[in-house]
Amino acid sequence: MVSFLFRLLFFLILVVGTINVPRLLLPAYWGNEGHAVKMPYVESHEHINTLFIGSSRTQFHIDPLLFDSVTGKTKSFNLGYSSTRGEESMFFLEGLLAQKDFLKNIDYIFLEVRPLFYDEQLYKNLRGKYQLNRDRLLFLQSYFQPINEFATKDLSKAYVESLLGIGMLREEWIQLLFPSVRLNKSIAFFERRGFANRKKAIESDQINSNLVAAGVDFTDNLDNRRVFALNCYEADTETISTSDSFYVARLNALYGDLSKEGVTLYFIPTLRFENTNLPSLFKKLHQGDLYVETSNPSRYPDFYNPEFSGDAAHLNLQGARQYSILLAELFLSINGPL
Amino acid sequence: MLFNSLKFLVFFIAVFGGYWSIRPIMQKLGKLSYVVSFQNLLLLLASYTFYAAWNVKFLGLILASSVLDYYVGKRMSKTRSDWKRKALLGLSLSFNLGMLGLFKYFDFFSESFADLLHSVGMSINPVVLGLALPVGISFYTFQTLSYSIDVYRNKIPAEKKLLTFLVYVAYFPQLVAGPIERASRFLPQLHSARSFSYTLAIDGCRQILWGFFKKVVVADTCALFANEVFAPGYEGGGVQVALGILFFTLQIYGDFSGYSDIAIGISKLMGIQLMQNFATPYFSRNIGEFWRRWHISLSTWFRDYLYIPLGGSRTKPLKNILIIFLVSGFWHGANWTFILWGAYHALLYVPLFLMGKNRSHLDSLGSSGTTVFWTKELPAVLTTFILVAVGWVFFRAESIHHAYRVFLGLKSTNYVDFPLWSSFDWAWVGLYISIMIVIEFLGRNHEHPLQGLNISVFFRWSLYLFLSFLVIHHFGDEAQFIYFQF
Repeated sequence: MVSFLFRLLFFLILVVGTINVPRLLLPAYWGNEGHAVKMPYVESHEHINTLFIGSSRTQFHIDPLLFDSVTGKTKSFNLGYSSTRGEESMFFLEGLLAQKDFLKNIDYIFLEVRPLFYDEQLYKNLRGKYQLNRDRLLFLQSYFQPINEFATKDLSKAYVESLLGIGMLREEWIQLLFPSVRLNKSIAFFERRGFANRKKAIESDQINSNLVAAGVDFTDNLDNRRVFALNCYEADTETISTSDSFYVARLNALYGDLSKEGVTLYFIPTLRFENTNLPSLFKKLHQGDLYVETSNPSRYPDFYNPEFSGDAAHLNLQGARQYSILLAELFLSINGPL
Repeated sequence: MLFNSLKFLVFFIAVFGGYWSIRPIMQKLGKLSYVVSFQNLLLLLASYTFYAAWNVKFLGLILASSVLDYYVGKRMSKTRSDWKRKALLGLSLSFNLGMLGLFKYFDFFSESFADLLHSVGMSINPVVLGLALPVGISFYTFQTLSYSIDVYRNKIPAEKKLLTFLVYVAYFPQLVAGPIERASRFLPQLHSARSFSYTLAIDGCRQILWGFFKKVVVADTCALFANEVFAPGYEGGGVQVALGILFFTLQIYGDFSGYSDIAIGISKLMGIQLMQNFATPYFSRNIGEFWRRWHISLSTWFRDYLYIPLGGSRTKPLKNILIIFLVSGFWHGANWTFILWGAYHALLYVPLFLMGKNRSHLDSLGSSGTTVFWTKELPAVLTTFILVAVGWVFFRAESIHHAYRVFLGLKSTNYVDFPLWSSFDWAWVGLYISIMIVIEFLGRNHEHPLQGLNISVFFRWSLYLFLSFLVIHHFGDEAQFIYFQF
């Protein structure tokens, strides 16, 4: 019995040990691959003073060159990246706060605000690893607990798996064996200071291009989103969930901390949001001088127009142009011309 | 509580630790004679806990069935009167089959009867009970029935201890999806104290690993594809439908044989050997051989308790073959699709029987030399595989009309890609299937393929490591086992 248990233990140690080999060989940063690729560019260009942080709805919607041409006073860069979650952007900002030297060059940061959602699969990929730091885990657990009764258990499991290295097993090994596989995508979209064209993104992504070939209508639930957003704005409620109040508290704390470093943080509601009452959450945020209501269909109906859409969640190039100009004009209206 | 869940892992570690601590504790207390009873008691508690985790209400059912058959067996062994023995057997059969009929088939018969009346112009509202099917009822009912029949036939003595008999019926590794054990094989193992066997335990671990690979890696990955094709209303082209059928063929094998391997492996860790349930059935050279290798515990059950009593190959063999295949199909579920699946296999088997080839290919694949393998055996294996795969369409379809639609889809020239699959996914699934086929082929003459791999220690351990990585990577989705529904 003892020899059996020893052999079993030896095998388990061997399994866990071998699984962790890539961690010894890979570079330490395995969070958001979009940030990983884009940040070195920003760090090496000291004149950049404005950052856009968020998901694909930042990456595909804000053209920094256009934005700068209108403001005349900014040198901006788009750090948005597909599927970047709300908490990821927030954690990323927290990381920036620790880099005092870097922040010296930065004057403005636009942060896309999107309520968090629970997805077990997320915590099994390399991006998930980025969020499974102990402090972040505790935040996520308290955030998700009222929403999803399994979240606490699942996140704890994901955390233990992450410690043992078994949670992101396949991705880490693929990264080790074929280092370019995951990063190529972001390098391909690394154009116009981090801004990317949604149409190109669809064409170069196999699954999305398969969907195009299969005749899938990418804008089929756009109207549902418009109606949902309209209802949220019209309801005009002040109440937010307990979970979202955690999120708001942390974002407001970030606002204060960045102000101390001389950086102005602007919150932008994610465009074409679904599921959560974003306007009521947004009202709880520290707005400073800029209150951006770009997601309100009654004020800006064009952003829900199929003609300006790449798909139900994203604008196309034409829509992005309008959106970037509008954002720049709003920015100018409070900061004044150069 | 699924084998592929963390809950089961924790449960099993506790049971394993407690079970093997009994002997040393009793040894210290100088009560070695109690080891058997305590080991069986712990197995019973563990088994009932395991079953209660599914549905505690149905625990009463399994207990009632076990207690009844225990006393039936006991009474049968005490009486020499033939009619009394027959009456007792009748009681066991009617209770167990009645229970199965009530939970599994009542609604089907009621609705079919109403449909029949409707077709002749009479209309009635069928009585539908809508009862939930107790997990594993088809398996443990057959197991306990085999005991009553064997005692009636004087093949085995009646079990004296109730505790031992309860463990026989409810033994957790094979309770919900087999293998359907025989009392003659299983009960003697419970009569003596189990001692830990290093060799058996290591072999069990290997079998568990292989079972998990087949279930968690191969079957669950193939299921993603197969489910898409078998979704009602699927409009894909012929190539996609054919691939979907192929993937379901691999899924059902990986799923069910994977479960059996895990069950047998776990049991080996408990020092109890269960019967082999699969013997690389997809390497069969005809349907006869396939049925000797697929779900062995069920096919031999039907052979011993239905086919032979009906007269076997001596009296009206064709009728008996048809009955056994239809009943076997119906055992899987109360749906015409399963009956059709059974009928389809009967149709494939009868010509072989008439030609006297149903018992051919008793040797191992490839044992007649390389030339025979490439020119005769491989084409025969592929033909059998395709025939079996066609049969799975009936098995998987929701209705006969759905099966017809799937077959019709084979002719379709529509091109509908699998949009959510990238070439990377295809490469992975191809790799998984290739690994399964190659290793099963190399170890085809053994109880499970990892038992007979004749490769160096370094490659063997590398393979175990690789399989473990794949299992760990896919672990956690806790996908149901297909055969749990039966």
